[in-house]
Amino acid sequence: MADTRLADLAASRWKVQVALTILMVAMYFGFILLIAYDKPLLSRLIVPGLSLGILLGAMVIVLSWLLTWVYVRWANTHYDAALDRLRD
Amino acid sequence: MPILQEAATRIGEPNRVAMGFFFLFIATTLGITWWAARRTRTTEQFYAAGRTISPGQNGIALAGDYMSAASFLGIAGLVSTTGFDGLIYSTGWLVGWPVVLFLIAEPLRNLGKYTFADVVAVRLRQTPVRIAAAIGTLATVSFYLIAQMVGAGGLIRLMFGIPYETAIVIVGVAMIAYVLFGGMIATTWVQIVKAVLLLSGAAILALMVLARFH
Repeated sequence: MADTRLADLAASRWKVQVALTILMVAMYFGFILLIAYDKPLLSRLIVPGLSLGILLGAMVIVLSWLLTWVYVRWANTHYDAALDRLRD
Repeated sequence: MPILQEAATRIGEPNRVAMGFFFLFIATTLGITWWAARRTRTTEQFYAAGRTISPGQNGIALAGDYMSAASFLGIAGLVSTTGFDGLIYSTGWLVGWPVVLFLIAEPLRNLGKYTFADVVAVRLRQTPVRIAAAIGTLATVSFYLIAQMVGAGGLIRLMFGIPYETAIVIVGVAMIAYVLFGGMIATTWVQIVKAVLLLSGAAILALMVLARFH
């Protein structure tokens, strides 16, 4: 049945979308809450000239690239391929 | 530091090199707009550049959207004056983009629509959805665009020594001309030019600063 397969695909898409969004939002607001409530922790130096805060800020940016890459990879290899199979 | 001192004493006075670059940039971008306006005939060309923009070009253009005077100068200043609180701005804007990608990109592509309001209007009642979208857009634009125009107006006032109000009107007219006549083709290519200029300018500046104050 094409209908249930389409519904399954839509459900799996929704799961991926929500999971990635929750990860992204949790990461960002975790960082913001650290800035708001624990500046001493962030100002701890890891190596001279580099504090934990700057490192985490850069990590938020790198991790959002990574999540974007995960989404694009999933959409290209998994989702679009499944959609093409359903069209046939 | 002779260069720095010279620059510091000349702030607020017309500077021939800066004005030359300014006019070159305005002439180039208006040229792109004129070229794009001749190629924009249909709705699809206006909103989606006739689907001729490659993902790579679009990525650079989006990066140009993301980078502005704020990321170039403002955030460095914010971090240096307010510490970690300033970092919120450098990450917050970026974090919004993946969320838009995860939640909105796929439905937008599926329906082949141009704007977010178009997509929601497919499912819900047209009029209230469009009114809500317009209010949301105008509220966002007010906060974002006013800050940008204040920056640009202040810059032009410093550069040419003209009144602030005149500077704002000139910037506003240029902005409206880019989008209204050139549509998405002009907007995309102007953003690509801007992204390349900002990225190379910021990289050169960072290298020059590091070379002097390492």
